[in-house]
Parts: sequence; structure tokens; C-alpha cells
Amino acid sequence: MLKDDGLDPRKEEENGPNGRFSKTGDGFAEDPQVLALIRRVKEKDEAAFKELVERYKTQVAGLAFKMVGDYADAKDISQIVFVKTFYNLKRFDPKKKFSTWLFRITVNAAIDYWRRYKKHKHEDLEEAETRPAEAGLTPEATYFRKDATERIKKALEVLSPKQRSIFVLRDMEGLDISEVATIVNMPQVTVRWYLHRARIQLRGELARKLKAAGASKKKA
Amino acid sequence: MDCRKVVEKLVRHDPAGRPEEAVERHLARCSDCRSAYEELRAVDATVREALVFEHPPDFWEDFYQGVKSRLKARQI
Repeated sequence: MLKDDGLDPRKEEENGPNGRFSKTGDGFAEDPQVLALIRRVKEKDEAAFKELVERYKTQVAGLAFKMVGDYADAKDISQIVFVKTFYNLKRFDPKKKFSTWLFRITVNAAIDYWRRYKKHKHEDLEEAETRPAEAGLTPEATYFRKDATERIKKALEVLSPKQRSIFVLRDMEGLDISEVATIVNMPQVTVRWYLHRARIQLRGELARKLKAAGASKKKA
Repeated sequence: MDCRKVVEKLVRHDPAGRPEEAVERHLARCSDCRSAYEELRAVDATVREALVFEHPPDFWEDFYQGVKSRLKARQI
């Protein structure tokens, strides 16, 4: 279960600085500007909080979007993430990497959101087609993007929340395995196992869907 | 290495890196596995392209205001 929003300092004691959390262990030094910003937010400085949101909002929303595949949901999730960040900042260990901590909150918020709303949020391709064209894209490119996005969203749904989180963090965001392990609070070996399973499942599922889509286009 | 083993390894391999040397040697001489690998790369590329965060132009409009409202309402 990926329930805890904070990094548990006891885990580092259990695993040691060279254990599975080595990336964010003793050797890591956070940007002093970020630490100063965090200190000011803890002192309830609203301008500092706004600056923190501005600094990280694209990373948070980008990750949320990759988790849920919908811009409106990604916006909701990102706003929730910054509210949780504000209330839980006292639990952040300044010896750790802030973005790792923030990504954990984001992943957990996306999983909670997805579990809560996925039953009500199924949108079919016809509905997707009625949305306005995306800026800078031709209607054909917009259609292809929406079509592919919908198929990928459906393919992602075959993955468990853990698999999906790990797949997105590693293969979409490009984080290294040790950082992914810290974010999802699992040993690296388990992360690798989940990643293998996710790649096999997603690639198989998508290859089938894309082939079927190609075949139906040929028929039409 | 036989084709079945190569395809298994390809399905599991990290899309950010290259397949291992023995697999690459096999791909150089086996057109079936090469086309399976191309298909796999096309699937990976489709995933990356479809989930690029190219948000609508008004995405950030009232974003911080929304955070503030949720903070006031403690809506988390």
C-alpha cells in the first residue's frame, strides 16, 4: 500500500545510508534556495508558498497527468498535492530530496483520486472527439493524439496502481530505480519486478489495441 | 540465443537503453525479431507521445487561486 505521504525517517535507519534509499541519503544535498523556501513556508510565508508552487507545479501536474491521462483530473490532483504539501511540510526531512518527497505525495494523491473517481470518469472516444482541437495541432493530429491517448489510458487501466506508478516514474519520467523505490517505498528489487510486469502487460495490451485499431481503419 | 528468448528479453528491456549485446547480434541477422523489436519501439513511442504534458492554454489560469481556496476549505 502506498499510503504514507511522508518519508519515514525510521526507514533510513533500518536500511542505512547505502541501502535502498541511498539517492536521498546522507550524500544528497538539496538546493539551498529550495531549503530556504521551505523554511519560509513553514513560517507561514504566503509569498514563499506561492513561489514553491510556481517552481514545482509543472513537474507535479506532468506526473499527475501521466498517472491519470486527463488534464482536468491532473489539475485537481496537483492542487490537492500542494495543499497536502503545505500541511505536511513539517514532516519533510531537509536532508532528503524535496522533489522525491513531493513526487510521493503526487503518486499517492493520483492513486487515491483514480480509485475514488475512475468509476465515474470513463469517457468514450465519441466524447473525446467533441473536445476542441488542441492548440498548434491539425485536426488530424488532434484526432490521432486523442485516439492514441484514449487507447493508452485504457491500456494503463490494466495495470495495478503500483505497477502504473512505477512504470510512469521510471519509463515516462526517467527517474532512476533508487529514486522510484524511495517514492513508492519499496525495495529496488521489488520495483524492478513490478516494472518488468508492467512493461510486459502494457506493451502486450497496447500492441493488441493498436493492431486492432489499424485493422479496423483498413476495413473502413 | 533463440528467437523466443530474444523476444522475451526485448519485451522486458528498458526502453531508455539498448538491448544487451547478444540480443543485438541476434537482431542483426533475424528479420522476424527485428520487426518485433521495431513494433515494440513503435508502441513505446506511442505511449511517450500520447502522454506528453502539452496542457490546454488555460491550464494554469486560476491554478494558484484554486490551491488557496482548497487550503481555506481544507479540501484535501
